[in-house]
This record gives sequence, C-alpha cells and structure tokens, in this order.
Amino acid sequence: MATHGNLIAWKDVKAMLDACAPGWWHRDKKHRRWVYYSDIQTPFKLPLGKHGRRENPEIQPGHVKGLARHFGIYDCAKAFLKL
Amino acid sequence: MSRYPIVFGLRDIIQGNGFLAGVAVEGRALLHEEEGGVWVEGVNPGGFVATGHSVAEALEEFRRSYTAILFDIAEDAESFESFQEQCQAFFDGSAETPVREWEQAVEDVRAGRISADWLGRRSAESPRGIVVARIDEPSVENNRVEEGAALAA
Repeated sequence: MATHGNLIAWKDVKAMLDACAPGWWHRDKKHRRWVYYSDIQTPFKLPLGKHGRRENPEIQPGHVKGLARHFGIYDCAKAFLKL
Repeated sequence: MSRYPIVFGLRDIIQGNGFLAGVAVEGRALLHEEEGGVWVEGVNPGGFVATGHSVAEALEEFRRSYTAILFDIAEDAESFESFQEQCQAFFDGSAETPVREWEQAVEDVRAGRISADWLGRRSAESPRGIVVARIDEPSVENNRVEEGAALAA
C-alpha cells in the first residue's frame, strides 16, 4: 500500500472499494470526487487532491474512514487499509 | 479517541446557472479527536468529512468543504428547483453509524462523560434543516450572522 506518512493513495482506496463495495463508481466534479455505491442515495464526497495530483491524490485517513462508515463497509475497509 | 456531538449554523449565497440562492443550514456533525489529528464527520448534511491537525483547523476545513459541495451541486443544477432539491438530498443523506454515534455522544455530554470547554453549548434538540431561498430582491433584511459550531447538549 503506497502511503506518504499516514496518507492513503487514491489507488489503494479504489482497491478497497473494489473489494468492499463492488459496483461502486465515481464522478469528479469541480471541487470534490463524488463516490457512489449501490442504492445509497447520498454519494460520499472526497477531496480531489492538490493541483496536478487529481489522478492519484493522497487522502487523509479521516476521509476514508468517513467514506467506509457512510457506505457501511468499515469492517471490510479496515482489513485493507490502515484506518 | 474522543467523539464530540456538534451542532452548527451556516449561511451561504450561491450563484447558480441563472439564479442566486441563499442557503441556510442548521446541521449536526461528529467531531473525532484522535492521536493523529481531528476529523469532522457530517451527519446532517452527511456524506463528507473534513480533517485538520487541530479542532480549529478541522472545523474551518469543514466549513470550506460544505461550501465547496454546494458549489458542486450548483454547477450541475439546471434550475433553482433542481438546486433546491439536491441541497435537501445533501442535508438528508445521513448514514446510520454517524447518526447513532452522534446521539450516543449527546448522551455522554449530558451524563458528564464528555466535556469541551473550548466550545460553547447549544441544545441537541435545536431545530435542524436546510432552507434554500431564491434571491430575486436582495435586502439587508435577509442578512444573518451564522451561529458557527457548538457542542450539542
């Protein structure tokens, strides 16, 4: 798992979502990356990362914890990432 | 790790595609204080988090994140009515775990198990909601100072 300090790389978040939230998808809007899963009405909004790092931004663990809690996949997410 | 139930009031003026809207929210969030830093989890509205090295930094980032999400909603909304609907959905989109933990944290505050003298207090039963109003005729009568964040008690 590629991390910088305790930051989590977006590619690792994607791998976690592939395993824990199959069928998830995302849409980048101007200010946030909107992540959708199943029939959960409200998407989770992740930061896009610093300018020029949108492809693989590094994300604070708190955002990933919130994402996992929002989708009800926290136990699964913990098995993948250092949360 | 400590968890604090927060209530907050925020005011924004958002420019949409052909409309100007005033958005007033009375919401709630869960503030997590951990060894590595602080993260604030939206409950109503839900579906986002802000982080920081300190409580002040995290709350400031929460405020910025909330506004940025309103901007995202406005960008896609083809009409004021669509923007209004999507803002309501944003507010209503709570997840079960944060709601349950927020309510438990309120009980902890009331029982004296949690205290936060660095925050003022406001009733956990304070009215909650989001009001999105079209601004056709700006008036100073509509100006309101926002409440900011407080510990829900």
